[in-house]
Amino acid sequence: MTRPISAALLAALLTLSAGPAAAALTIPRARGASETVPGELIVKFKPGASAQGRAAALAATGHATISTLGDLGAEGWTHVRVAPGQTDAQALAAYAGDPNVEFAQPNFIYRASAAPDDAQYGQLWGWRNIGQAIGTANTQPAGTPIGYTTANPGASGADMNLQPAWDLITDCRSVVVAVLDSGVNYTHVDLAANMWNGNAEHGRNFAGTVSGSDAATTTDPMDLNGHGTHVAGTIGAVGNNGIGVTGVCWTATIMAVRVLAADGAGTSSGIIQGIDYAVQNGAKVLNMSLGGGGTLDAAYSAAIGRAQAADVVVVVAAGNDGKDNEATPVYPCNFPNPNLICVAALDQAFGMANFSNWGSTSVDVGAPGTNIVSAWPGPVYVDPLNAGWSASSSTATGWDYVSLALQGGGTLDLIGVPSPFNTAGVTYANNSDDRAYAAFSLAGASRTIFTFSAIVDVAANDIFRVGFRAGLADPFVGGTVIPLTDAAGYTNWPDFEPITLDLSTCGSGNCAIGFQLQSDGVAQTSKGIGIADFTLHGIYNNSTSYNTENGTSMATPAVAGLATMLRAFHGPSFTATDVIGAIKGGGWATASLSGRTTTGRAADAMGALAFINPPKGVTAVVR
Amino acid sequence: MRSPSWKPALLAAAALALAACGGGSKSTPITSHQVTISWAPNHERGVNSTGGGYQVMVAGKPTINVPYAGGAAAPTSTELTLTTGSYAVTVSAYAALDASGGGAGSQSAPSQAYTIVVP
Repeated sequence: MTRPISAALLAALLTLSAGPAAAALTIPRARGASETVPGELIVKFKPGASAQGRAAALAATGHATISTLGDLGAEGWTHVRVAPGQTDAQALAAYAGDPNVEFAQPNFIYRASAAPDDAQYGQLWGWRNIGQAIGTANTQPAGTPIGYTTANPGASGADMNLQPAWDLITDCRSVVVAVLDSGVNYTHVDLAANMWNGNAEHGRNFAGTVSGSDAATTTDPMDLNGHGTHVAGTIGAVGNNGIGVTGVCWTATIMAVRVLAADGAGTSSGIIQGIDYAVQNGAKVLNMSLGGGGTLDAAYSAAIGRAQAADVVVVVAAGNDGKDNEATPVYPCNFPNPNLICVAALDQAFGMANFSNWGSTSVDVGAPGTNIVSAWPGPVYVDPLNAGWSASSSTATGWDYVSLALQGGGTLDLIGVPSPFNTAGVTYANNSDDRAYAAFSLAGASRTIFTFSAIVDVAANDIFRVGFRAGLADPFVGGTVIPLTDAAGYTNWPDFEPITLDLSTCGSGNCAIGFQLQSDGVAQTSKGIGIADFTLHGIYNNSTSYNTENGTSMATPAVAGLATMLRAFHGPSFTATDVIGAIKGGGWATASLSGRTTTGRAADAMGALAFINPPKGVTAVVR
Repeated sequence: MRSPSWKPALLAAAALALAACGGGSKSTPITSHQVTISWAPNHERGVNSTGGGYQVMVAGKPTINVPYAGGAAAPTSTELTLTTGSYAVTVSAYAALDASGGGAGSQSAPSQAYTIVVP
């Protein structure tokens, strides 16, 4: 099963020690240095200097008048060209001591500052990092996860270097970029104008409502998860429209190819159909923020090969396991196809994000992947879990509400069985039926997706379930009940695992949602279950919602956007090989990526635009 | 009496004259030939516009500049005269744009070397 590579909870490790406070850092970077016109100066003569005195000063230096700025009302200013062979510094020094000259200066170059006016642009540290804190990472309701706390704020200059690139290009409409993901909310106010509309479609849906279902392909790629809309916003949210965020491309042509179901999972067959659909319909860049382990999937690799034959760049995520892909391959990142570029996630100080996978021969570059603000399909409700819950237990241990410190900083509030939770020597009871549920209003949403993170350690034949039903009553009585473990038992301790469910069958009124741990009488030493990060995502049309996410999934579209920008800037002759060469070769050398990626570089938009691939095919004929 | 050092120079000149006439000698003749060096076009916009072009480096020879001179693309070949010998040649591309967004210019890494053998 392939899943999107985002990390709402980042597989947070349980620990009781908080990380050190992030220090303010600055990455020295030779960007934005004052530029001057070589060989030119502006000379300011003293008010009393005669015409003869001015001429004598210029003659003494060997400089020639280009124009007299006094013609425009700047009396006494003259624009001059310096003498041949003279440096600008020598030319400036030549005026020292001249009684007719007040001062001289370089002829500076000023450029349009292409900072967009989008309301949340200041939160897009990946585009321009001035050491700002990302506030939306910390504005969830009290008692819920607080985003990625390491390096927030980060380091000024640790960004994609997009502002100078936007002086050259913001319009990428000439290149179709396909988002193979959970779909896209194509009615979102920051995306609607940038959606592909080929064949009167915004894309296709090759995924069922939930993973594993074999729903027929449809022409509606609406996002029922959120992941794909977030990815699309990073590539091409409408820029400079005064609202929300901006993508790498301010204007774009985004094809939505839904290959992940509402629960965020997809299959080889759906993804292969999605790749072929995108390629056959003219996409030249594919974003695939998804991955899975296991053996090399030959059919999947072949589909990427067909994309290669069509000169299509495929940008993929490294994975969120915090592991080395050389030791444990993750696909598609570890496919050998040369048209594929694999992306790791960087934090706000350009350290490698603690969840990001790496790989010295499989992962190519890094890009911003923590506290990334982008479009979202609809409003997000995060429940703090500390009120309104009905908890019951047939034994004495029951439910606990605790706040755990996370590795790397921050805390995580959860409800769990047993009580006390996460305590040495305390296991859940045998022959127990522990339930906790609460009711929520889904009013107004056309669909609702439910996500949470679970830490699980249950013994064989003890079952962890989630349930929901319309109304206010116990969802485990007459509701939809989904077992999350089976007779074999399960443990993911100490890692949390994100889980997504489609609540659409709960209707648009009240919906009771709950968790259950039911144990048998066999003695066991298991730690129980913990539920955190309880979030409802409403899917609405004409959405104006945004969300802050973490993951290599979020880093990948930054590079896909750059690939799209490069193809739009250089034109149709710029090949997939050229694009990948420019992204890799034009990247910013970054210590955290050295030895952990093929390049040791972070994606740099201006560096990639200016990069020139080495010529090929040199030959000679002797006559 | 001519100085001894004068004679070799005269012999070399004679050998060159024979080669140019299609003749030869039992010693290795020094010949000169027209050589056309070509390469595949780069696709970067900056290479194929004002301020862009290529530089051709032939071992032991001055660098040859092949600038963009108008039209759709910069030239992708150049000619020069080489005498008998073996020469490594590389090509790099350049453009006016630099990695800070300014006009200081950028240059590619050299191409893979190609060896020209002039008979």
